[in-house]
Amino acid sequence: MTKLKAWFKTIIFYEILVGMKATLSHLLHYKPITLQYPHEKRALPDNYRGMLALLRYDDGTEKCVGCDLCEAACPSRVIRVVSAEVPGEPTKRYSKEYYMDMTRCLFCGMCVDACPVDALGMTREFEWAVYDKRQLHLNKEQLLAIGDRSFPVREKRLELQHPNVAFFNVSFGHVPQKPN
Amino acid sequence: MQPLIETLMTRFPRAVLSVEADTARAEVSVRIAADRLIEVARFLHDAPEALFDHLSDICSVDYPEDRQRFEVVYLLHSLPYRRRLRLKARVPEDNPAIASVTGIWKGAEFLEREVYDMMGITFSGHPDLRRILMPEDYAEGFPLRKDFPAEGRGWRSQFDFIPRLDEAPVEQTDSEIPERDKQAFRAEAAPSSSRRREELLLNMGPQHPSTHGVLRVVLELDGERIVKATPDLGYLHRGVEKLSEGLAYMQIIPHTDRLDYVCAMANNYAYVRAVEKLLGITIPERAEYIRTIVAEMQRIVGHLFWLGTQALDIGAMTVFFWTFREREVLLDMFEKLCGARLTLNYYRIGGVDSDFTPDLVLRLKTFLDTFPEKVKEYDSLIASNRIWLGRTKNVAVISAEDAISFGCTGPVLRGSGVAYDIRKEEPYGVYDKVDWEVPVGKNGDTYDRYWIRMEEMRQSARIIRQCLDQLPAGPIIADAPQYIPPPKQHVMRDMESLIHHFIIFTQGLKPPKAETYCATEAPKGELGFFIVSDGSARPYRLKIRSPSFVHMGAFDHMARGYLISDIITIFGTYDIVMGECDR
Repeated sequence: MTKLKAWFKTIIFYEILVGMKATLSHLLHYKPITLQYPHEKRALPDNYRGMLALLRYDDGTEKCVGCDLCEAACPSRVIRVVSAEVPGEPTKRYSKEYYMDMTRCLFCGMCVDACPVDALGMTREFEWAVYDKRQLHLNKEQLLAIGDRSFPVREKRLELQHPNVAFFNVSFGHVPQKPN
Repeated sequence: MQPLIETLMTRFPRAVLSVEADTARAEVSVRIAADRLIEVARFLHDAPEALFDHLSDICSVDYPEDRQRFEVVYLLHSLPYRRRLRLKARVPEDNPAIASVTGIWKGAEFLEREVYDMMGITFSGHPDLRRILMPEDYAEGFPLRKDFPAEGRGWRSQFDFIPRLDEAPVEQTDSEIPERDKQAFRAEAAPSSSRRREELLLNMGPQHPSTHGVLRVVLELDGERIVKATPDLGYLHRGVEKLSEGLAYMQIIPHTDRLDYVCAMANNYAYVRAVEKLLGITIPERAEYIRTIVAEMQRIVGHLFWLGTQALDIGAMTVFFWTFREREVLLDMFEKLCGARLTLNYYRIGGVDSDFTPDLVLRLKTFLDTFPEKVKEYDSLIASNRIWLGRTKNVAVISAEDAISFGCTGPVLRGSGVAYDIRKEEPYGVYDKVDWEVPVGKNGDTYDRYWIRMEEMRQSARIIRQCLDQLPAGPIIADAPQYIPPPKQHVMRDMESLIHHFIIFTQGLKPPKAETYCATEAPKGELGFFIVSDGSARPYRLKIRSPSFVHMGAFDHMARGYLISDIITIFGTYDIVMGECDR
């Protein structure tokens, strides 16, 4: 009996029918999950690790203090920082020049982890295909511009967030007082 | 272990030079004289009290200051007794030669070729000692030696592979490859028979859609039958091992993403576990749970990817779309968790990068509710389909003895009926706190491996569900200020955290002077990291034992005698990813 059953299943292509049943049931409950990419775009999560950017405080000053930690943390030597003292304020430093060679970037986020003042951010930009590789060597102005358009909401100055951090990046004469 | 060491010392008093037992990491290494390697290895393989039947890896370390400059490290593993042993032998610089162990463990052939290629140690008695990862005409030397610069010696700048438009194309004088160069790909002479026999060398790859990367195989064919298949590896060799000698321990994690780019989490996990074993830190419970969940999610992703591409290679297209649909759901969760989909960089030394949100747990639970149904759906498409059966049953058969001798692990070994799963044998994470089973095959063919991977997906779903139910609250990263950077929100608030933060990111963490091997069950098999630390912030030597590479060593054995159309199935049966194979 089982032999007959197996023979019958063979001649009617039973397993193909089972497979076709699964396929056809999808035809009925058809829900497209494909996105027509250049026309519609996915909603990316907030922590998406896309293009890197330099950020500013809400008063427009740069966050970066030129401490070189991002350069030290980067596993593929993307970043180069040239730091200098802020003219006229000997305790305060900033990055005079800041370069990123995005052709080598791994998008691992180590520089963002390393930055003690959260001056670096990863944006949700990913469409950075260019015709010339040299366009991916970004300087400070370009990185700040990416940050400006990707992070419209800016943080308050660090000294205003918690005024007891007076040991780093703060010239004592100019500490804005926390408004009461 | 102690009785075995004593037997070894009494039986080979002149061969065994010293025994180092690392009690903190539960590892034993035996230093032996290089000229007596074969007898010790033979004893360890055959003796009933030793039975080291599985050769995990062969590694080489360069100590330029020492008189005996090179050290060859054999990582042995005994499947019946569930223990590991390291065998070390030193060879001098002027005559770096050691006997080959290919007669004892068949899998040693590829591993020894890699050591020869990278460190220049010759193995006497090796059947085919050629370069394996570097090009055959590579003239710069041996890249993993310490005196070799990481950026190379300038050979690369002489490449002229971009044809110049203002030059006339080079005339090809003779299209035939000289007979001498073909010799490596020829099978050994067959016994003469009455059958007419005419061999043809066929070049498959390096660019072939089903090689899952860039792999070239030279096939020697007799009609449609494969007489010999010689894989030519190294097209994706990026020198991760050399590169990591110049990177701090934390910086290597994103590079491990690129090894097996289909299952980045598994690579992260394997590396991070090896470093933690070296450092001797314990992980908070919640982090262990999250790691296990994420590793199992990655296993499902890896097996879905395998199922889709294997079916696609054989000719069934629908499965590919369906498996990628589920894979997409999991990748979206990864994206939510760590901001990337493939190159995840999620694990950290001592914990994980970010915590599960309640929303993510909910999404994962919904996924698990529907997932077993989906697995059933794939099964209904192909499990009894006569084309699928015809192309996978009795294809790429390997017996249990051969699979062990070649060093196979993962589904390839389990398909042959050996229940070896590191998650069960040497439990890590929380695998010993949840209830799950190891599926084992019978025939050792592609169909059994297919069945095992399907079953493993179901088991992974079971593990994730139990872990989610048990998920405790708590921190997600260990508290070890000398190794792990402090939480970011503390960095600008207290001076001590700031100092630790700066020191760890500028100088890196400095593990004790030690060496360790740590194996993890990746979806493709045993992924092991062997780290030699000299006490500085960078690994002195980091060897990656990648399952794909070891499996490629068994390729010739498994491909012989099959039809040329089966070669695609035989690639696919290992779940091979060339990024990991070539490293």
